[in-house]
Amino acid sequence: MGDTGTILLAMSTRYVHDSHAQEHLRRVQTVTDAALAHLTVETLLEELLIRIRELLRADTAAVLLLDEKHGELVATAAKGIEEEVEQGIRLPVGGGFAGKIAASGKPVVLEEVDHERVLNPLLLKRGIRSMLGVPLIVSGSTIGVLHVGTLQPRKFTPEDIELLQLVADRVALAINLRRDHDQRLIAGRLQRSLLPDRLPKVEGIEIAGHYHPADAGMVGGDWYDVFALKSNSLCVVVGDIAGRGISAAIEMARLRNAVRAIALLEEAPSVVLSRLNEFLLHFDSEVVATMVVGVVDANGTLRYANAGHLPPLVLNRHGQASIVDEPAEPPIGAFDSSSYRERTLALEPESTLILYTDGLVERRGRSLEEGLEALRRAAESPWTNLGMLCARLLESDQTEPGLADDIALLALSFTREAGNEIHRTYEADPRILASLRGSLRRWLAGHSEDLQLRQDILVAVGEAAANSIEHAHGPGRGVVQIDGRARDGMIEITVRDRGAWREPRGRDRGLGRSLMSSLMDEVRFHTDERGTLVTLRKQVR
Amino acid sequence: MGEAADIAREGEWLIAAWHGEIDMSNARTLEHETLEALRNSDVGLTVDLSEVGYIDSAGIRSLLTIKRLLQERQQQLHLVIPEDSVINKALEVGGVVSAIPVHRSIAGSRETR
Repeated sequence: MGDTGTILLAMSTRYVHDSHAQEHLRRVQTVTDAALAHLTVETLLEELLIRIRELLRADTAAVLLLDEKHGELVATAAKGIEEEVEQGIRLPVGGGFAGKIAASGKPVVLEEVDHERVLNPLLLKRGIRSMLGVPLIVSGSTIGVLHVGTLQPRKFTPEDIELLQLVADRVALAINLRRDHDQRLIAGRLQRSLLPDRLPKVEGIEIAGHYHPADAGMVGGDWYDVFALKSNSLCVVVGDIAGRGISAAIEMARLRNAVRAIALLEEAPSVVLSRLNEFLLHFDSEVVATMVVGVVDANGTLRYANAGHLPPLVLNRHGQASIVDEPAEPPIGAFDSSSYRERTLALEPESTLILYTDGLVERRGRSLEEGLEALRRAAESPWTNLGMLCARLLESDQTEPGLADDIALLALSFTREAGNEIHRTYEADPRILASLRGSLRRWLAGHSEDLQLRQDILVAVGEAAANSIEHAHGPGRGVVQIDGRARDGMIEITVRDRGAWREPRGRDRGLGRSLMSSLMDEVRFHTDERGTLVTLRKQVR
Repeated sequence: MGEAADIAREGEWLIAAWHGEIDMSNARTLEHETLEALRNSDVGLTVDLSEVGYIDSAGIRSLLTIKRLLQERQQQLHLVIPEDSVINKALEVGGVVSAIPVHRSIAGSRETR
């Protein structure tokens, strides 16, 4: 409240020799009372309206706040004319008494109220004869109006105007501080409520997400999201809406839910982005967002599409980081019928995918290229778990105090299946094949560097498992058991079920069997009363 | 798992891009989606397997089925498989490479139409 202190000093100096000086000082003190500083905005408004009504010997006093979106003044607090607030009176900016004050930002005195100049029906009904109103101003812009009215005709003096403006400044400051505080509080809560509190658990995938508000806890429109799709794949999203504070957080909430709704129906990331573009353009032409939407399956295959967002960062199993080089595509909500290219990244076991927003790399006085390079280098320094990696990346850019922008960061690691053996039992259902391959890929990665060789084993085991699923059991029943062993450079994998081996019928029969024989060194089939056992062997070094 | 084929058209050619991993859980869906998009007036079909990281006998059977159907209708089938793709070997062993013309890129496939 330093401003009012200064005003108080100025006024007391100016009026000290005046015959009304003592009285004026008393009046000023009445409305700048330090005790008022601790009141909530509602109580402060109430108290100030009571005091100003007494001081100016007015019958009514009211505060109207500007609703910028609709260009209207909304009755917020009133004394002597309380029904104004109860009825939620709204008045247009520009017209009438209050509207003119809001539009001009200057005090207005009405010595004789008439219908043409006062639009508020309640004031006329109440029989108000004279009025004085002043604007509520915060850093040069009008946020509302404070006015008083009298039942008897009255000439307001310059001192009255000055005093009312003093109260108005006080009210404006308090409202602004509260709005600011509320905004941060609400936006912060909203943002936190929208970040996934429990990340989905998927075998072989480790996930860490971080959200970091800008300086002074100011949240913005950045977010990350991870959720399971019906296909058991994971949908990963990192996005950024321009702007800060509550409006950005609200838009983010809307967009984030739209992504979820669309992704559940349309799993292809490129389609999700173009649908989202339609959604934004249809309902709101103002929001423009950048984002990466990806779908990761248990194999570490990432399909993704990028709408004007920063490219993914990939750390390979040897800890080398690279930024995925890709041509830019338009942000969401910018152009009609934007279409997006879908890309595929095969993520090796022990590799890590990092999606992030520009707050992580953009700094004043540094080019985007330099920022990306700094991020890439930071990712290459040693870390033991994903949480630590995220913390490292966030830290690496704190060279300049005070983050200008918020940051969302999402990291996914594909873990390796350690050990010389692997044992898995699956339901005999075609949908398990992808996760079977995922587990095997992660295990095989520890036993051979040869990608083609690992692929050959995957296809052969996949064939044996598919045959078990298709022919050894009725639908929805039975299990397939996979056991792998690695010894002295030899991989041996058995696929066991409780049915009899049968070749697929129809054309191209025997294809599965010939694939197995060609891709492996040795394939043996053994069928007895308990079922079929397929043993596959291959020398890997 | 990319279940949907990305369908595009280049003149009288249908281009179907398959994605992800192809096994018995999705091969028939891809096969049907691709055939449904084909018009009688089309000269041919290119199945782009550039973004496919796994294909087994179910996927191979679907490709061979498409090949036979197109042959009956006197339409051509071409494939796009990059040279360094890990699926080349299974497609060779499965007889696809000897039965269906293979190009290393979409651009390459255009030159032979």
